[in-house]
Amino acid sequence: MRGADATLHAFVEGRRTALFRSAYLLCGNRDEAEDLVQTTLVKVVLGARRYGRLDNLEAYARQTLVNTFIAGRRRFWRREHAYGELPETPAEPADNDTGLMVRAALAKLAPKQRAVLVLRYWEDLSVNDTADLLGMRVSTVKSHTARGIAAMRAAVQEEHV
Amino acid sequence: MSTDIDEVETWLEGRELLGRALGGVSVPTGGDTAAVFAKAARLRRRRWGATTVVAAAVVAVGVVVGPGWLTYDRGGGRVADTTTPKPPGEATAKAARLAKLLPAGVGEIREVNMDAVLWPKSTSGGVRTTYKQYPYFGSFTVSRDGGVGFIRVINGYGSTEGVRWKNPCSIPGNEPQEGCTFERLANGDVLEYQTGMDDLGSLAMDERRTWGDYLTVRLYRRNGDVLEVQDSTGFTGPTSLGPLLKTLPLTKGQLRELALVPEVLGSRQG
Repeated sequence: MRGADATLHAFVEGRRTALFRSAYLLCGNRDEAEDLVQTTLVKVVLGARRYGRLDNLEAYARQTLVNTFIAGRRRFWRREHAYGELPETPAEPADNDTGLMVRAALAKLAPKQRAVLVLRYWEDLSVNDTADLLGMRVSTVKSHTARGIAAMRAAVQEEHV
Repeated sequence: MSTDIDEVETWLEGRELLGRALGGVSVPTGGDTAAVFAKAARLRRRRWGATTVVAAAVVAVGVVVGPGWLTYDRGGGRVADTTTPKPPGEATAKAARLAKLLPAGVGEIREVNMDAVLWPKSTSGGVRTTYKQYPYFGSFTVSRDGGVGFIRVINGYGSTEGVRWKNPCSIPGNEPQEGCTFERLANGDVLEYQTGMDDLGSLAMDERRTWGDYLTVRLYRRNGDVLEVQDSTGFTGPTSLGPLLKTLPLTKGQLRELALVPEVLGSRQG
């Protein structure tokens, strides 16, 4: 196996689980998250081979994951929902109530707001890096972050009432 | 200093909350890395022009399979009907209205729930409820010359600052979309044409189905309205509607005309 291919194989093997977690936070649905990860990895392999993007596969994969998620929501082929409607309520096997409430709160956010939260708090990107990746202004990232965390807080407090 | 501490605390809180959202979700163990590379290789070959060969093979499979149709009863159950070549879908009022908008010779139009066709395990059958504000929203089979393709009409709206309206055929930071062309209409709206299946995510990844030709037109209006009309010769494999059509249900010009019919675009206000 050539060096580049070996690097790609190792990346796909090693990063799938981490990508799945981020994908799940974005989608709120296990099946869709798995699809998103698979699609992302295929795009990463294609892009890496075509453009030699092996220097920072991690960042490339993160950007591809988020853009694919947002584009999918925009394109809205996956399900016949009207644009702007809320995504389906996450339906996962029973787990802790707080988790469910937080997922429900995330599902009510716009896809880009969700992406901001995942990039800032889960992927640990700075405000500036998040803004660059999403093509947003820094102020927009900050406002999305503030509203998003407020929504999650409210969901948890509601659960504890 | 206190601002820094606040930021750190907020970050920790955000991380903690997202961690809870992940709680109880089983993470897939491993995954099929070979499938990722196989799919990437296939897409690369397709981009180099192997599509024609694949499509020809698919038509051949359709012929071998013969005239058996998968059709839908009123209750949404799917039944194999090998005796009567009855087109799949339901003869609804919406399908009849759409047929009137299409040129003669397109074929028989029937309404179908494509979600139930494509994701039978997670979607119940029967045609979808009509949105009052979008009178043509839905999926329709197109049957002619022994084949079955489909048209999907999907309405919605996005931001008036929509990236796609400003940058058709590309998303900033992404590669330009292959097989994508666009035109700006005199009124400033944008029509985007996309050929192929590469954007269809999990559907394109599903090894069990083989898709025919695909053409999608999207109308992005300056007020945020978006209309997407998909035009496909169909697919073979599980839950196939029937053999592939030899040509797309609608030509690019016909698809353009349909996308520009005001009633098809609908109105958010209803």
